[in-house]
Amino acid sequence: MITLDKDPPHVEELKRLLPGPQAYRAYISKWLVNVNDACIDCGICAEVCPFGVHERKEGDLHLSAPKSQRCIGEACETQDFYCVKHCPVDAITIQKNPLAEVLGNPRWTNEMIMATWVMAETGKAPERGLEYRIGRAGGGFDLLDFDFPPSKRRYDPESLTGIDTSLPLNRRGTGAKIEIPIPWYGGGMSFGSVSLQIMLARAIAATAWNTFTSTGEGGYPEELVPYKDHVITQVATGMFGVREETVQRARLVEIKYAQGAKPGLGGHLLGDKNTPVVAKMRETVAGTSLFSPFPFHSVYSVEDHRKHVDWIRAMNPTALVSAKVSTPTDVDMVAVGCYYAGVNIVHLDGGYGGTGAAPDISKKNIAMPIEFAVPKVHKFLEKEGIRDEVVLMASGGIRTAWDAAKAIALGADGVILGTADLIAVGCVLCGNCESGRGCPWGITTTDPELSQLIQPEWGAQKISNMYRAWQLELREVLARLNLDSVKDLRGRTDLLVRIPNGPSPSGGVAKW
Amino acid sequence: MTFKRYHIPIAPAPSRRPWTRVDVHRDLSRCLNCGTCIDSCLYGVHDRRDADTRFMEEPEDHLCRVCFRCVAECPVNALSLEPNVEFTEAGNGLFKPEVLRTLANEAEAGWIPVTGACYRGPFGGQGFDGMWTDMSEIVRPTRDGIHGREYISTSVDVGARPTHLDFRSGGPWTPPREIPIPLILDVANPGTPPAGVLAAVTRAAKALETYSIIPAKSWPGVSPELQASVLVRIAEGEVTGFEKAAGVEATYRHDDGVDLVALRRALPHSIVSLRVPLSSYDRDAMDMALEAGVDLIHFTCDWKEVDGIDGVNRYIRTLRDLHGYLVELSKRDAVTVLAGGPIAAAEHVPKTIILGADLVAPDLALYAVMECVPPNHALHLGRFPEEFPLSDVPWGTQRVVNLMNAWRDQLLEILGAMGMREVRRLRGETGRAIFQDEAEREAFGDIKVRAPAKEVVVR
Repeated sequence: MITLDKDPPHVEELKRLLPGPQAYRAYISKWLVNVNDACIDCGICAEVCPFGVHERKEGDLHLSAPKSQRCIGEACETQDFYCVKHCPVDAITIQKNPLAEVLGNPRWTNEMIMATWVMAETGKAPERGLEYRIGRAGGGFDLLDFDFPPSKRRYDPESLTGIDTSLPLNRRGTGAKIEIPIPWYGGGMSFGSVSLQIMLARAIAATAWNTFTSTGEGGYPEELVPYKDHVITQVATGMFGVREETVQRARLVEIKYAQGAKPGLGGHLLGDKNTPVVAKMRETVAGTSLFSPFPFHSVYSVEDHRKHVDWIRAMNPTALVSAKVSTPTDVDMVAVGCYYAGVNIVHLDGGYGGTGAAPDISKKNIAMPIEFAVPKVHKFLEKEGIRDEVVLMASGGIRTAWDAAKAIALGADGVILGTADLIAVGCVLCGNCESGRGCPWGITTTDPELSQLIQPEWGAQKISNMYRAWQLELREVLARLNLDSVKDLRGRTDLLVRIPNGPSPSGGVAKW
Repeated sequence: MTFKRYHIPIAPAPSRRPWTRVDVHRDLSRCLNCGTCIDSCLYGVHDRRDADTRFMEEPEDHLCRVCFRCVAECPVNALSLEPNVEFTEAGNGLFKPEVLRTLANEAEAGWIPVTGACYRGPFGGQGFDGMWTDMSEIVRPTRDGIHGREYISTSVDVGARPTHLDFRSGGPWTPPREIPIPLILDVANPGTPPAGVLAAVTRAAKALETYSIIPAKSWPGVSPELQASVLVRIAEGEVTGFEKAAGVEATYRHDDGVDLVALRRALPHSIVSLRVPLSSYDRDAMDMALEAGVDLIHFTCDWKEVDGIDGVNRYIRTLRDLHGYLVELSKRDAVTVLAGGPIAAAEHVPKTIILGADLVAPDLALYAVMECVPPNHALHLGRFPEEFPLSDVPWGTQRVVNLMNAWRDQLLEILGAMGMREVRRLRGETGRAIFQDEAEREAFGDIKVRAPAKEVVVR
C-alpha cells in the first residue's frame, strides 16, 4: 500500500491564502541577477529595488543572494530604481537567463509557465515583466483578445467579490443540483499516469474550492475517499478499477470516450510505469504496457451510449453524468448524440490537451483544436434548441484564466484543467512522463521514491493558489467587459476580436 | 496459397552521433563537487571522474532530457542549460531540428515516438501544418485501441486497376503489382547517390517488399538479386538495358520528352512511370500518361522548390489538382499516383495520401537517417561532415527499414483513429480532413478583426 508521511491537512486551512513556496533552491527565472565579489554589502540596491530582488535579512551582515525571479529585467533600465545604476562598485549585472531559451514552447511559452509558478506561489498573477495572457502559437486563443470598452479605470481584482463566477453543472429538470463557485474543474489523470500524491493534492484543492477533480481511468485509490464529494469517477474504455462502489460514491460520473491528445487510440500506460501498486489497482500484471481499447465495445451508436448512461444512473440515481469526447469534424453531431443519451455535461477535449503518454503523431495531427470545436458545438446546440439543457465544458489546451474566458466567450460554459494544475505544482513540461521512472519532479510518476518529492498538502496549496489567481483574473476580465456574471459571457463572440498578427512564434519558446 | 502476414524486421541501429538538444554547462568556479546533481539526474548526465573521484566529470549532454532538475537542485547555481547551436541551426525547410531528431529516434529503434505532456508546436500553420485528420468517435470496424491493427491493410497497387474484366481484347494482361506498404524509396531525386547509400536503400526496399527509385547512372552498381525491386530513372538516350529492373521512369517535359508510347511498348511487363516535377506540371502530362498507359505518375519536386512554405503550399495545391483532374476524367484508377518531395515526417504520409496520392516517396529523409549529406547538399545536417561516407551498409539498411516501420505504424495509428481498415480508402479523402483556413473561417468568422495599427496589449 502507499503510505503518506502525514495525514492530509484540514480543508479549511487551504481556503486561506498561504504561500506555496517552491520546493527547490534555484528558480528558473526570466532574468538572472548576478552580484560579484566587488560587492561591499552597502545595501543601496536593497533600498532602491521595489520588488525585493535584493534583501538583507534582519541581523545579517551580508546581503542575501539576489532573488532573480522577482526582477523585471530590461524594463527596469529606464527606471529610477534600477539597481545596476545605483551600485557604487558596479557589482550587479542583469542578463537574460539562458535557461529561458530551453524552456517552454509556442503554446506554453516560458513566461506563461513562470507566471503560473508565481500564481501558485503567491495566489496572484505576476504584476509585471511576464506575458502570461497570450501564447505564441500563432492561432486559436493566441489570435484572440477581448474587445474591452475604453476605460481609464484600474480595477483591484481583490475588491471585485460581487462578480459571480459560479457555474451550475446540471441544467436539466431532473437530478441533483450542483453548482461550483468557479467555472472550472480538474480533468482526468489516472493513478499510474500521476502519483497518488498528485491525485490527493488535486482532490484536496478541489474540496477547498468546492469544485471537482477526476480519477482518470486508473481506478479510485482508497486514499481519495475522504474527498469523495469532489472526486469524479471516470469510466473509461479500459474499465480499470471501475466498480459499483466507485460509481456509487461519486456525485459526478464521467464516461470517457476519447482523449484529445490521442483521439481514437485509447489510454497508454507504458510498462515501466505499471508498478505493482498500479497493477493491483488496475487488476493487471505489473510491468506490462496497458493500452486501453478504443472505443467502448458496448457502444456503437447513440442508443448504446444512452444504455451506458442508464447503467450509471441505475447504480447511482443521483449522479450527474458527463461524456468526455474528442473533436472530430462531426463533433456537433456527437454533442447532440450525447444530449439525447441523457448526459448533463458534454466535455469536449481538444487536440492540444495533455497526456501521460501518447504517440507524437496523434498530438498534432488527429482531430481539431478546442478553439474550433467549441463555437461549432455551441452554435449547433443553439440551432437545435437544446443549448440550455446541457453544460458544455472545454478542455485540451486551457492554459490561463484568459484562455478560460475566451473559451467561454466562444460558447463553452466552463473549462477543465489538467496541465495547468501540474505546472502549478512545478511541472516544467519536459515531456518525460511516459517511461522509465517517470517524472523527475515526482509528478507524473509512480516510482515510490520519486513520488515522495510531492507532499499532497503542499501541492494542494499551490493548486489552490493558482485557482485563486485565476478567479481574480477572470473577475477582472468580466469587470472590464461590464459583466456581473461569468454566465453572461457565454457565447459572446461580439466581445472578442481577432488579432491579425499575433505575438511572434519565435520568442518565448525553446530554441528548436 | 498460404497466408503470410507482412512483417518488417526491425532491430536497434543506434545513431552514430546522437543529436544533443542542450549544452549542460557547469560553472567550475562555483561547483563544489558535492555530487547533488548525480542524485538528482535520472538520466545519467552527471558523474564523477573515473580517474579522480574528488571532481565531477564533464556532463554528458546527449543524455540530457531538459528536465531542469539538476539546475534547480544545485546548491550553488553552478549548472545551466543552453541551447546547442549545432542542433538549433541544423536542418532547413521542413527538416526542422525537432524533425531531424524525431527521424533519428525512429531510425534507431523503429518504434512510434511516444512522449508525455501536450503537443508543443505552433497552433497550425501553412502547408501540412494547417491540416488535421479526422477521427471517428465510436464507429470502429476492426479496431481495439492499438490492438487489432494487424487487420488494417497498408497494401496499395502499382499500375492500373481495371474497372471491369475485358475478355475480348485477347492480349495478356498484367495485373497491378501489390506492395504491402505505401512507400517507395526515392534516392534518384536528390541526385546520384554514393555507393553506400545506393546499396543500403536498394537492400531496404527489398526487405520492405517495395521499390526503390535510382538514377540510370547508378544502375550498374545494383547487385543482381536486388534488380527486381528497382525502378530506374532514365534520361533521353538511355532507354534500353533495364529489362531486369522492375521498371523505368521517364521525366515529363512539356515540349519534347521521352516517347512514352514507345517506352510502354518496349517494356510491356515492367512498371513504366512518368515523373512529373512540380515546376513543369500541367494537365497535358496527365493526358500523355493516360494515353500511353503508364502505371505510375510520380509527382515530385526539386528540394529547393519546397524549401520555403509557399513552395509547400503550391505543392499541395498542385497535388490536389492532379488528383482532381484524374477523378474528373473518371480515370483515377487507370494510373497510380506516387507523390514525393516535401516528405519529412511520418505525418506527411497520411496527409499526402489524403491530398490525392496512392503512394508516397521519401527522399531526403532517407539521407537524414543514414546521417549522410545528399549529393546536391539539399539538406543541412549541421555537424555532419560534407561527405560522411556510409561504410556500414547493413547499419544504413537497418536505419531505413526501422524508419519505414515507424512510419507505417504511425500510418496505422491514423487509420485506426479514423476508423479505416485500409489505406486505399484514405486516398483523396479530403472530407475526412480538417483544413485550418476553412475551420478558422467557420469558428471565428463572426468575430471582428482588430485594426492592425493597435498592438496587442502587453503590460
